[in-house]
Parts: sequence; C-alpha cells; structure tokens
Amino acid sequence: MLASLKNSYVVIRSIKSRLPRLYSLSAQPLGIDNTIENNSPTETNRLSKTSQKFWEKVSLNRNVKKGKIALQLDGTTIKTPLGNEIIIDDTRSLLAYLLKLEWSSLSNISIKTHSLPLTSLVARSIDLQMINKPDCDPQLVAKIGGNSDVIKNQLLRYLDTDTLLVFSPMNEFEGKLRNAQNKSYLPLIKGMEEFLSKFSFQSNVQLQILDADIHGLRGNQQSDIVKNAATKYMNGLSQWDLSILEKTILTTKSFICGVLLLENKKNSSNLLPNLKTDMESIIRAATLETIFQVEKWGEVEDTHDVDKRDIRRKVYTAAIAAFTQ
Amino acid sequence: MDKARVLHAYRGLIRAILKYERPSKVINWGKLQKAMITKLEYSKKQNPKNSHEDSNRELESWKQLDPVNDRSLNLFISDSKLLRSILKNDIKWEEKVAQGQNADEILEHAFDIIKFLDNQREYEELVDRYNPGNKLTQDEKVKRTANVVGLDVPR
Repeated sequence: MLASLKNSYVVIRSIKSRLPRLYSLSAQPLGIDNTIENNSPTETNRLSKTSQKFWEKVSLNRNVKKGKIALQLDGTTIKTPLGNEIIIDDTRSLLAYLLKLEWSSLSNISIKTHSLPLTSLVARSIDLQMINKPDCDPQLVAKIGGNSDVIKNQLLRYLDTDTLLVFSPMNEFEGKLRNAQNKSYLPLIKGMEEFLSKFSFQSNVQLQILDADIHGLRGNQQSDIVKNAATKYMNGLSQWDLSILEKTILTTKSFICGVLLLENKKNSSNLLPNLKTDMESIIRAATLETIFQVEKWGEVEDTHDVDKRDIRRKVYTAAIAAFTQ
Repeated sequence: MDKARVLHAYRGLIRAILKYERPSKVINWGKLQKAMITKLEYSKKQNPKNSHEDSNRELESWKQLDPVNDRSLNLFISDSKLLRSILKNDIKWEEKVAQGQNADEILEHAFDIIKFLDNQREYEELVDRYNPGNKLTQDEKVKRTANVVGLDVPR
C-alpha cells in the first residue's frame, strides 16, 4: 500500500517536472524568477518582488505592540510637510497597504502633486492632529491655514450654498434636471435635517434651500440653529475624520456630501435609512448638473473627462481613509 | 452570500492593483534590461579569452525582452503576501464571507478601492495625454522651443 503510494508520487513528480511552467510560455528572461514563493536572495529576484524604486525601497514597518504602522522609504519613516512621521493605526492596515502601493507605483522621479492623493490626505490629518496640541508653534498653525476651529468655520460656509441645497429652475433642460434634483436631493435633505436635529436642542432644524424659481439669483444662508448643530457635529469628530470631511466638502462643494460619505463609511449600521447611500450616488448628486450638460451639449475634451476622474479619485480617496476595518 | 460577487470583488481588486502598478513596472524592467545588457557586455570585454556561450545566450534573451508588450511580466502583484495577510488576518475577509455577516461592507469597500485605483490611473493617463510637455526633460523643452522659431540648439 505504502509502496504503491510512493510510486505514484514519484510518477506525478516526474510528470510535473516535464511540464513547462504556465507563465513561461512567452519570452522568459534568464536569471529572473517570477514565482512569488521563491525567496532566493538574488538582486534580480529582489527587484522583481519588492517594488524597489530607483534608489529607494518602500516598506511598511508594523509595530504590533504599539499597534502602529509606519510608511518607510529605505528604512526611514516618510515625513509629512510639517515634519511629522507618517504612522497610522494598524486597524487601518489596508490603507497602509494602499499607501505603500501608491509610493511604489510612482513611475518617474518627478513626483507630481496629483500622484499621491492618499498620502496627502493622511499627511493632512496627521498634521491637523499635531497642530491642535496646545503647545504647538503658531508658525506651524499658520502654515496649515489655522487650527481646526478656523477650518470648521470655513467648512460651515459650504453649508450655506451647498450643492445639494441649490435647485435649478424648471425651464432648464425641459424640467428634467429639476425633477432629478427633486428626486435625489429632497430625501437627502430631509434625512440631513433629522440627522442634525440630534445635535440641537431645538426641534426645528431646517435647512434653507435656494430655489432658482422662487428666490432667483441671490446668496443663501443657514439659520443659527443649523449652524450650531453642524458645529456641534464637527466638534465630535476626530481630527482624522475632520480632514476626510474637509477633503470631501472641498471636492463636492457640499457639506451634506461630506457628512454622507463619512457616516456611510464609518458607521453605516446605525445610520438613518434616509442617509444610507453609496459613493457613486454621492458623486452623482454632486455632479448632477454637469451630467445633464454633458448629455445635452456633449463632452468637452480635457475638461469633462478629466474632471469626471478627478472628482472620483478624490471622493474614493476620502472613502478609503474613512473606512474602519 | 453571493459567491459571484465575492469573486468579482477579489479578482477586481487584484486586477486593479496590477493595472495600477504596470507603468512603474514597465519602467523598472526597462532599467533592469539596460543595466543587465551593459553588465554582460562589460564582463565579455573584460575576459575575452573565456567562452561566452552562457553570457551570449543571456544577453540575447535580455535584448529580446520587451517590457512594454510582454504580458508575462505583469502576472503578479508585487506585494501579494502582504495583501493576503492583511485580508486574512486584519479584515478577516474569509471568515466574514463564510459567515455572511458584515461581508457587504467589506465587499463594498473592495469596490471602492477598485474605483479609486482605476480613476487615479485614468486621471494620470489623461493628464499626461493632454499635457505631453510634462514628461519632457528640460533639455528637450529648450530644444523644442528653439525649433519653434526655426533655430537649433548648438551642440
């Protein structure tokens, strides 16, 4: 019994050794092993496996005891613009992996500002955490554009003329745009009012909308009740979440979209049913007017196609950072 | 749990990472190819007495390598072990999928990552396509500027 098993094992092995490897069907350079499991310490192997860039090696240094992961180039931790090390909690290990991927996939030496979106968001939140410590150098605070109270006030202004609160006139696009806006914005506005009222003592938290048919062309402003509730909500956020909120608001020009993204990614299980949505719907809501314009007038090269990717890469950047494992 | 959806998410993730890595991999392979050819030719010149059967063969295979079109260079993501361990130990992908609870969230997140990688890649491609001057070196820019007014840069 044993002998026959052994025999068949030998037969299988001999067949195996004769079969060509599947991945070597096309040109196979010599001296390079493409298999993942092989770890013989040759230079070529190292280069094909570790995504080593010209002079640098990107790596993650995980400290299990402290529960932190550091993003490193050649063994030194990468620093943010303000000189803080990029170290994140190891509960965000997937984000750390993507950060590493972002660095190791830089295709040339000149790093452009748009090639590292995840890193820049993470760096921003790390810097925000640092400058909000009481003994921080005021010069550093000025560099980042003020502490988080200043940032919160600036973000509040987006709520006044929120993309999701401005309605186009009925006579544009034969009323199609307005109908789409009604359908997509009104439930979200209602949900948002309900959400904000949790942060207010008053019961009548009402968002002021700007309807082009009624109000015409003018500014818009939210009541103090709404502003206080929104401020209270932001005060409850960590610096990490605040920077994600900021990124989303600046991208979509909408405070509501920022809250939607953060809440859907962070704790979607106990969220109001009206506010449950996915990223693609958030992007659609934020770009609804452009979508109708492209439909009617056609896509303009170097503008619509680029913008479409731009808003998506930014919103998904925020979504990836907001996700809790 | 919808098996097709799980498979779709996982495969899509790997595929998106592969595509995202490709441009830098092609450049890396090109550099390695150049370095290896130079090295082999140098060692041939250093030892003219030895027979160079092996190194000739090696040299030939390096010269034939075409990083831009060779798809076999792009079959594996460069850090699959790390990704697998994260998915297994931190995200608990398999457990969640097997239990069927909370799996929606992680699948949704996988799709979000795929869309991020794809849009980031396409964005960079478009920016490069619409701004071809970005990739030129300073010398090349000067040369072309001179050409515009009918001049040549002195050698």
